[in-house]
Amino acid sequence: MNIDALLALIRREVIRGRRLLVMLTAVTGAAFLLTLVGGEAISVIAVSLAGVSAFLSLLGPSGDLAGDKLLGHLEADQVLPVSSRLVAAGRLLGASVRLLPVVIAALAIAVVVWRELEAGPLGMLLLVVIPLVSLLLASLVSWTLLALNARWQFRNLWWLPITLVMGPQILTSALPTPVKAAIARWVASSARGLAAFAVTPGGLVVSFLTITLLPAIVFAGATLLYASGLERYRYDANALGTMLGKAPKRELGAIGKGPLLAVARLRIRLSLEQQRRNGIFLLILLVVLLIGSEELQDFARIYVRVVAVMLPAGIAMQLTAARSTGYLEGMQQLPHSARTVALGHLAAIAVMAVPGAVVLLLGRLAAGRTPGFVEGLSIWSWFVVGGWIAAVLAVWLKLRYLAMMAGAVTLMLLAWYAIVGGEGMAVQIGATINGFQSIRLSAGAALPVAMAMLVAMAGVPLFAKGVETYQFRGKGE
Amino acid sequence: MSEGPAILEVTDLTVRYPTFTLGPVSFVLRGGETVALLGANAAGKTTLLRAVTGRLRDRQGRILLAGREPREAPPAWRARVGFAAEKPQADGALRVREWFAFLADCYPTWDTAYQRDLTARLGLDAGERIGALSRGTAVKAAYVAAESYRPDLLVLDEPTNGLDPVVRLEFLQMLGNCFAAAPERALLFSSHLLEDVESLCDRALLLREGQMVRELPGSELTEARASGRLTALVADVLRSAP
Repeated sequence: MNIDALLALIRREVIRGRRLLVMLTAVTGAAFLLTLVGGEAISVIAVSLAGVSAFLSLLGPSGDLAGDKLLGHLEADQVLPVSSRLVAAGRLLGASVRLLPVVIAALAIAVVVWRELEAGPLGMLLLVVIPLVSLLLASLVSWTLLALNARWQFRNLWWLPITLVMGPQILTSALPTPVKAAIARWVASSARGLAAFAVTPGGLVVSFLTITLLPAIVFAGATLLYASGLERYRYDANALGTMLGKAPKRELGAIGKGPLLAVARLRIRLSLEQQRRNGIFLLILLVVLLIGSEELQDFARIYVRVVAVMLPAGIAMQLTAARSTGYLEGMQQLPHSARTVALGHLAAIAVMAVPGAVVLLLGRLAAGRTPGFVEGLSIWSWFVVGGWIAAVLAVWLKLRYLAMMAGAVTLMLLAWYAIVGGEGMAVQIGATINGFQSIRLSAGAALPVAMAMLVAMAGVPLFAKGVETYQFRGKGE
Repeated sequence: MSEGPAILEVTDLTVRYPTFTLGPVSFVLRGGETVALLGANAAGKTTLLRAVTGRLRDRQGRILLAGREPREAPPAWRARVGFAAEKPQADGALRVREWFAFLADCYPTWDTAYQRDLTARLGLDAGERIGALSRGTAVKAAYVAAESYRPDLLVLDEPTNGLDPVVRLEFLQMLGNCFAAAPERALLFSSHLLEDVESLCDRALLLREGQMVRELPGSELTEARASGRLTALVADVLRSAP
């Protein structure tokens, strides 16, 4: 094995993600310190913060890989003078190094658990075991995500988790009752048999070996899958073009006919290109909602929401890609005010929120309810609110603003804690949620419509400011 | 034409896209040769270069690099070809020196002293992030990355694109010196700039709408160059109907 190349691949994986790694390590480190010095309520907040950071660190390598595939950088790995498996192994191991925030977050949790259990000196073992097990589990997840992402288009696999959960239920529901009963009996007896075997000496050995070998097995499998994906990878320049949000000529030509309409048409056209598959899924889900079995309808109801949200949210994704690659300058240079450009985007989001809302309404109709215009307006408004907030953040949000907002929220929470204490905070948070729920139920469509108007009014100037102040400094900066 | 060993043999290479087909194209590059690939935009130059460097795998026909088909050769064989695209194929978050250090550990024949020399001669700031490189600097970085392990075949895609006149001249001289002293190596590059072709290459291959329409051998190139007719000659070939 070429150890130098393996180490170089690991190093590259870590170096490329260092900014996120340093940031998340700092956040989890601060959270860890808070758990050491803070009380119970502070520890809960700190552990939550650490958990979010740890989760983000899990997604970093997969995001980088998706970028490599989109930009064609994976070709460079294909032609390295080392085997695909070595490239895969280096990348997977590098991804594990990037999970340092997970270890620190787990340490913070371990401290809280240790204190809660009053475990004493022997419990110190928890401080080692919990971070190690967390690192191992996070690595397994990270390797699996990377391997799946390398072999297939990750964004096309969004249906997989829910299908894995719901699939067996749907399949068994279609079986005749005696067969279902027989399967249930077999599952129960197998579980009992396994449980009995697990406590025998042989069972303990097998369990131990399984737990010990599991990481090795997953690593080997992920390496093979990643290597296979690397060998099959083909650069698709068109995918990049669509993602970057290059303007189709016809839509640019419409600018002379009215800027707001032209911008909206451009975004809708790009969304239709990018979300074609989701549109087809939506139609299939609609058919399932109308004529499917009860189990299938339950399955479809979950998915319809996901797909429906993705349609307007796709515009925020276009903007994120355009911002990171400099294509947002195209919007900046249009001979119209930034507010008009912002309104054009809002109009596009409003249009893209319609199909999902219609399908959800039809689903409710199929379930025997008679939804009215107000209910439809309510659903549509929520989609607009979500899509527009995402789009505004995609254009306006800068690291500086994010830090300011995080700082303000932290100060607010600390002040709140100082005034009412931990228990008082918990009670007030619960009361706030309940209050919001009761307003939501009693206000009907008025709440989402008011929210939509509010975020539209607040978002347009922010979006416009984001466009006006945008300055492309290259991807590496 | 050079009488050196065949570095690259391309026979009936064909690449099919939904709206464009390259080939069938056949040619041979021998050790010591510097060959230019000329053609209008979308003539298939980059597709051809990507295919011969092993980046394009869905193709027909035969490519032999130093006697072996790259698709069937062991991974180490890939060190025999270097490719500099217009932009470095590396994550923008890496600094240039970090990218070079990575490649140095992957390529057994990487010559760090040579890389430092090339970096210095091209005035490349190795501390810059790849994503922040200007067009010309990106070309330089891609070239140093492809040349520092001295591959048998160096392939450059529009190498002087974006270089300022001073650096361009230095770059062309450097390329000329490298390959004049290396009869066992060959250079294949694409360009729109006939001055580059004039100053650097022994032979030119002219590509039009995916077809190799003409080969300008050294003698014809020299003659056209001497009579100042090179631009007109190339333009005539690229313009005429297939």
